[in-house]
Amino acid sequence: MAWRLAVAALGLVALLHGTLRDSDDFFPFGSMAQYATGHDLNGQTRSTYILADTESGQEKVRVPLNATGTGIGRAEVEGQLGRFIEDPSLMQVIADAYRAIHPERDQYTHMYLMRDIYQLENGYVVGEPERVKLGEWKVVR
Amino acid sequence: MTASVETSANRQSPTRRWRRGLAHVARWWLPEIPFARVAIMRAVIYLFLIYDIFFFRNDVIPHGYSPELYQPLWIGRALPLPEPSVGLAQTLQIVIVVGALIAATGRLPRLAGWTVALCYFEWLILSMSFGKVDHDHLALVIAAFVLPTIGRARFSDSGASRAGGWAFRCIQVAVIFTYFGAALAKWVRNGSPFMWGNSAVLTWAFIRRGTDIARWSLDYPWMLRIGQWVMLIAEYLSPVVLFLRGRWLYLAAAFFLGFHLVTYLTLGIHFLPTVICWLAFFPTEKLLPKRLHAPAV
Repeated sequence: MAWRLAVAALGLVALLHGTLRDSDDFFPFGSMAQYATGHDLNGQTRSTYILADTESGQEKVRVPLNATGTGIGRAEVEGQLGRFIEDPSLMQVIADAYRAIHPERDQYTHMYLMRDIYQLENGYVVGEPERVKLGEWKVVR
Repeated sequence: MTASVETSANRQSPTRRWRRGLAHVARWWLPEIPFARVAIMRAVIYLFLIYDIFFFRNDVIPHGYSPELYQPLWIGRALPLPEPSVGLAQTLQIVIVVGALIAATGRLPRLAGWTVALCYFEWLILSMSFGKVDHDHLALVIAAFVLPTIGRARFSDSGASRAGGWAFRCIQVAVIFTYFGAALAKWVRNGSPFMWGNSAVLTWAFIRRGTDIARWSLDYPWMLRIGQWVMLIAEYLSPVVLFLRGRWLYLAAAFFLGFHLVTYLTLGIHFLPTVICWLAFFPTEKLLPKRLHAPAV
């Protein structure tokens, strides 16, 4: 029974460690930091997404960044956003994954990494979002 | 009378008091719970794991198509874990399904249980190593690892188990830390314990992923701030739940489950993996039909 108390104590220490380090790298003992960042009432809210032109000629359709669409979630793209901005060819990986998962669907020919920026004032959204292109990639077959 | 009590307390050496305190803590961590409750929890948790890998954490097989985006977490860098691939994910899926079905019946509680725990853990690592870690799985991972330590427990077994009590305590503490740790994370990240309450975090969340029934509230930021304060205070107070009983415990559970319902309706974030672990707080064996009750000895 003594080992059980020791394991429980270790677990609590591990949880506290992850929390104080403010890192979720130590999964499952990481910081419970989802939605923990307090956003400025007069700041900006950013939202990232990917648009694509398709083989059938459709322009700028929204790429499904989720488990069943491309397998890569929007939050995952945002979590690695620096890599995507530095090297837009990483979008090729997403196009290839989409082709592998949904070979029957209209495939992507050109991809655009986009960001919408909403301005807040005193907690209210003001005006239309500003739309910024962070990168683009011509898909290679 | 009072005087004699004081003298006897004074006579207690610090070591003895320390030891008594430790015994108290040990008793709290090792309560006796009926075997039937363990059997029920096993059935629920193991069946839920199967549901989880197909409907919630269902990005592991798709992730196999994008190994270039694999960013291993600390555990993946510290241990020689395999790189993500479709084949690996499908193998894990089969083992988890078979193992969980066996373990849910209470057979091979250790062998099937440990196999499921390790494979499910690897499944989650592969799910969360692509730039985003979710926090709704803490209690469920802990449950997967502590349930095999209990050993045999059937619906019809009479008697109680301290090993089971410890496992359930661990799950309870993990459930509560999901809230309390979230409050601490807000403190650490924002530099003061209550700053988060006055921020625009819900506005940020609703702009990004608010459902139709949430978006109207963007016009009433003061209301969102009240919601943030309610959440923050509840998270800081959450450890109290570990010591509640009876009606108060049910009320507290209803509050937190209601909170998850609201985040589901407004943001599509359901936290069911945590919700299911709330079962560890309740005497579920009372729900068993009479014929399954342990015969009185």
